[in-house]
Amino acid sequence: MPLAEAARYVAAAYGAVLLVFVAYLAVTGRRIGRLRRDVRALGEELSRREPEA
Amino acid sequence: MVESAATVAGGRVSDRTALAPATTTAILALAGVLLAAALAVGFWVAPTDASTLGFSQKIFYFHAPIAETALLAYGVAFVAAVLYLRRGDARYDRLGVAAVRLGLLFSLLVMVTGVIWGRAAWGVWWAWEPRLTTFLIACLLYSGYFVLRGAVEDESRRATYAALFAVIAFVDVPITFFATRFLPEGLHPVVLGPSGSGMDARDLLAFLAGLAGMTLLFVGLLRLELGIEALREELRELKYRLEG
Repeated sequence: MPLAEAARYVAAAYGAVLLVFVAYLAVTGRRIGRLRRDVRALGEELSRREPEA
Repeated sequence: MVESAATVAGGRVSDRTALAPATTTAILALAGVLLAAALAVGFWVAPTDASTLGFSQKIFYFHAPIAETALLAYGVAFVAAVLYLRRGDARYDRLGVAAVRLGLLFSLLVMVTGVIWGRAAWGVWWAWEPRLTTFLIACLLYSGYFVLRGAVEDESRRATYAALFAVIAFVDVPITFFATRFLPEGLHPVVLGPSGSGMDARDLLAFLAGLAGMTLLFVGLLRLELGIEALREELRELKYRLEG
């Protein structure tokens, strides 16, 4: 196989690895951010209710 | 990121879910260094393959370690499932979920890099040979793990069914791993066999650096996923308390 053609396959494979990991980290970052907001909001709500009780 | 899991819960600061983010970051950084080293040795030090694979063989330095790491992840899920079934501790259920999720992530990468390499090396995108077929079966089985979890409402039953499923699904993992050894008519070579690797020492070095890097990446991401699962648990607890 010519070097240029092989290089395209190699670039595609490593590019795919990079793309999948970047996408995974982006999605994971969003998941963590959403959970943090929800936990903080519920924690504050609970703090407000407890003194009332 | 996981640091944020140490959060306010009912007026008290809970550090239950904090998983030493500095350690996770250090592990991920070390993984990055090892993976960069694997590529540097693989591309600049190791010789270009003299067989028909030629330059396309360079895909190997990530493809094989990713495959081994995917199987490792399923192994962790198996151990977590057995421990959950024996002890009933929800932590093992969370470990199983995190391990299967990462196993599927690495499996996706194996399939993608595999079909690209298959096209370059064999001239076809896909071949129904033992290693590819058993790996595809593993991917489908472990995808079913999440379908099962989504179908069961009760937490305890969901964890038990998922653990049983993970134990059964694991049967495919050793078959996948040993497929190239027991079924030599397949297209995949044996990377590390009883008679050694058959690789050039520089190739082997790049492979081992890639393997160590991917394994550490898995460990780092597993810690991150466990942090997420712990946050989810904390959220469930808060909701429960708010609902009285």
